[in-house]
Amino acid sequence: MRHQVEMQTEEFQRLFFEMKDKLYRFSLRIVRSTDVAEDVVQEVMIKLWTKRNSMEGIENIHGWLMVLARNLSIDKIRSKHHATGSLETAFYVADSEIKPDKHAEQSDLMQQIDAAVQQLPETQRIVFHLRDVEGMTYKEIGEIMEISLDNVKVNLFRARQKLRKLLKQVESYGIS
Amino acid sequence: MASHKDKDMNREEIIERYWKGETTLEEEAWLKENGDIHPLFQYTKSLGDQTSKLSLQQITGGQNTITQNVPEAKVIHFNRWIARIAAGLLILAAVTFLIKTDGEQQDATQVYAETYDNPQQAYEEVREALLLISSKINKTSDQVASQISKAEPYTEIFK
Repeated sequence: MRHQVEMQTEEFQRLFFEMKDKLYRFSLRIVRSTDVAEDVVQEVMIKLWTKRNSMEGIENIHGWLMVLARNLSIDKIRSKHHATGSLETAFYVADSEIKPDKHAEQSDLMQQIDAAVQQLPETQRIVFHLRDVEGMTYKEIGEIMEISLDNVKVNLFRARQKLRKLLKQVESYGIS
Repeated sequence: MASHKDKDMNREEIIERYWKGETTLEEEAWLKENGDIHPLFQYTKSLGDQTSKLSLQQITGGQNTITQNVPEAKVIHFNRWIARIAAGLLILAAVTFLIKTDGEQQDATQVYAETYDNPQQAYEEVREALLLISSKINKTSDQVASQISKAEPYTEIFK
């Protein structure tokens, strides 16, 4: 008996650390608020914790968690109490050798790209995030978004084409 | 120089396929790892570094150590040989019971069948029994006729 409970707790811990950042980033793409995204992750994890003894019917727990995060995030942005605003994102520039003025320039560029991404329709933006940030397969994206594989491909194609067009306007980097 | 040029050409070709949504996950991972190829890949890579501040304690409330107090379950090792012997004894008992029951039924048949050996004697016995029953029936009918004759004078009252 003890062995079984320990396994469930260990499984929860593993899932928690494996999924919390992914869920956070995913929710952040939708709600555009770090605080609200943290709330979503917390709610998802609490739900997982309370359901941890009756998970037999759920085949793909990762997918189930992502769908839960998506639904909760959409609920949040549709809530009257949540005002949508600009994304509170601090872009991390890894190269420590970059001079401060160049660093600021790069950060500014990231903000411009982020603004371009935010101009995408919601489905395209989420599909783009799941593929290009999280590195998910078309099948996984389709399950999370509850759309067909063809729809995933079409949305991704359109998102990238729009981004290409929008990013051409960033003159300082001469994107072709 | 030639190999460098080939690599650049390959890179351009992969980027072109990326915009068309034709690249594989491996190619896209390679593009992200080489952020200098295009700022968009630097952007997607930086998004992947964003992390949640949520702690395990906030979810479980420290209950992740609760299992230490759960008593160890008693494990009973079931021997297959015991099961086989028990099954054998059960079959033996069932067969014995069936044989014994069948023997008792045969004995009862013999008791009823061997009451009289002589058919004439059996006939006489049956005849006596029937006469006894017949005499009792006649006696009862005589009593009923007597009671009816006694009641006849009173029938005039109800006419």
